[in-house]
Amino acid sequence: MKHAFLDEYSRLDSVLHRRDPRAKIGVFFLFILFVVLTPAVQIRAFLLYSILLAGLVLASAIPPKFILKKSFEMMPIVFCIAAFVPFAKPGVVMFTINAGFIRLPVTHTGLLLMWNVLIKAYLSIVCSILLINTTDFADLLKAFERLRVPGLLVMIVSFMYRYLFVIEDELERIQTARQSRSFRKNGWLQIRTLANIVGVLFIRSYEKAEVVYTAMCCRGYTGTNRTLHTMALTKNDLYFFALIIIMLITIRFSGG
Amino acid sequence: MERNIVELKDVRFIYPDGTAALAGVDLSVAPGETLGLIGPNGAGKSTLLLHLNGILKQHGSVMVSGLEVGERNLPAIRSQVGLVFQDPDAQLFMPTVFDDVAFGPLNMGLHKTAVQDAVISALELVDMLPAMKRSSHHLSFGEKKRISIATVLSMNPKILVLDEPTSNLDPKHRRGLIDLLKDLPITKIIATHDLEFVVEICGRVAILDRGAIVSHGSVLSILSDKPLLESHGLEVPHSLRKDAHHHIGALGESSLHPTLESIK
Repeated sequence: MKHAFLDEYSRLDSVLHRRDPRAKIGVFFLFILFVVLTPAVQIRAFLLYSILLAGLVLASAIPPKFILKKSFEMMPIVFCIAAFVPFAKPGVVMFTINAGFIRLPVTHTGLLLMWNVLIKAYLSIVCSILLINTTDFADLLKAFERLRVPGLLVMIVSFMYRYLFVIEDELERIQTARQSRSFRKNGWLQIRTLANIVGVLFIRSYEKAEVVYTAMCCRGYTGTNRTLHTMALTKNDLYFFALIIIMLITIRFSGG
Repeated sequence: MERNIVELKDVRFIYPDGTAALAGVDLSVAPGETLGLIGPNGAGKSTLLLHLNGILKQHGSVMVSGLEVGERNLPAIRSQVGLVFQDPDAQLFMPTVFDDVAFGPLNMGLHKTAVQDAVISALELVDMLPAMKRSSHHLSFGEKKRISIATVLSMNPKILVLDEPTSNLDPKHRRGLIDLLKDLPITKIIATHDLEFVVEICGRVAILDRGAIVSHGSVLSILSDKPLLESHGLEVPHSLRKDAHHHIGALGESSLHPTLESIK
């Protein structure tokens, strides 16, 4: 079956890949926090954040094209929300869009808010893409566990990672079976078949979940997840963490 | 006489929908023995296997190496009975092969180094050590099957219980599995439809049909008993058929040659 990856570049070897997952989670989490807490008017600060992030991308040896592509895949969702903001905020009207018989006034505060949403969302998205693609997913999960993220949450994500593609393969098999038996184009019938497929897929996942749980019990599972980790924070990890944090603080408080 | 490592007495099980999967099973397995459990689809084989480590229990008694299977003994029982499911996607549920093989030993409360040693030796046994850091999703079916077995071998079980180990395996991987199991000196209980596999690997066979053991005995005596097998939806494996070689000869002489000639 198809061998898909969520974390295509996570097995590269670069300065960023070699850092302890916990240090990376810390850095990227604080990065996002700083970005979110910076007022939208500080254009210079956002420029510097972007440069810092671009530097990290270069250090990661991941093709920048890949990061751009991935990040733009996520942006439409953000755009859906941001697109309405300029019209919704009261304030000084900059210009008006005439859409048939409706006049849509665009305000200055509205535009600023839109910029605010877009730039913060974009930088945060690039941060997460970089984190996922510089860390092996299994290590990332273990790091979250060590950082005391609730075990149940970690387990849910872990199962999602393990079974996402198993379910996708299952769906593909069902699709193939459907295609080999239905060859007439009938819109209504197709929708009905689709609904059935969703139902079947749900039942199969549910049954699989039961077997998996039984398999876990067979190997002594009693409700607590135990995993073994070989993570060790080195001096370099601490330097990396400190360096990025100092840069973030400088950008944020140097006045812009 | 040596004490039996597994002893089932009048085990009954009825599923919530009313299906009586097991209707009074009596079975005993001697230490070191390899028992083949055969029978038609829906005979209750998988249900029976789930009784061996206390996943299912309704009526009757199951003794495993002198311990009564029950709520109190479950941790001890589950570290002694290694059950491998038919579907490797159910058996392998952790993000990496290492974590999967370490899952059992960690639950047994072993120390970090002991767990690592157990994982490495189990993966070495099934010849899959290089795959340690990979994700199960990116393995072939044969590789997944081998690692499934490693996930219970790492717990150092006294009894290995396998559900359809050869299903969906290509001949090469099937051969590898046979060699692997032959070399394992522990007690094995194997439910399967692959009767040739039983001939090669098992010392004794039990036929399960409609939730009861209808017959058991040596591989040769059971698997060459045509009327018995056929009355339970089974057939004599090719290697034990008296007329096996005669058949091939007949095919070679009379039917193959004319076909080739007619092609010319």
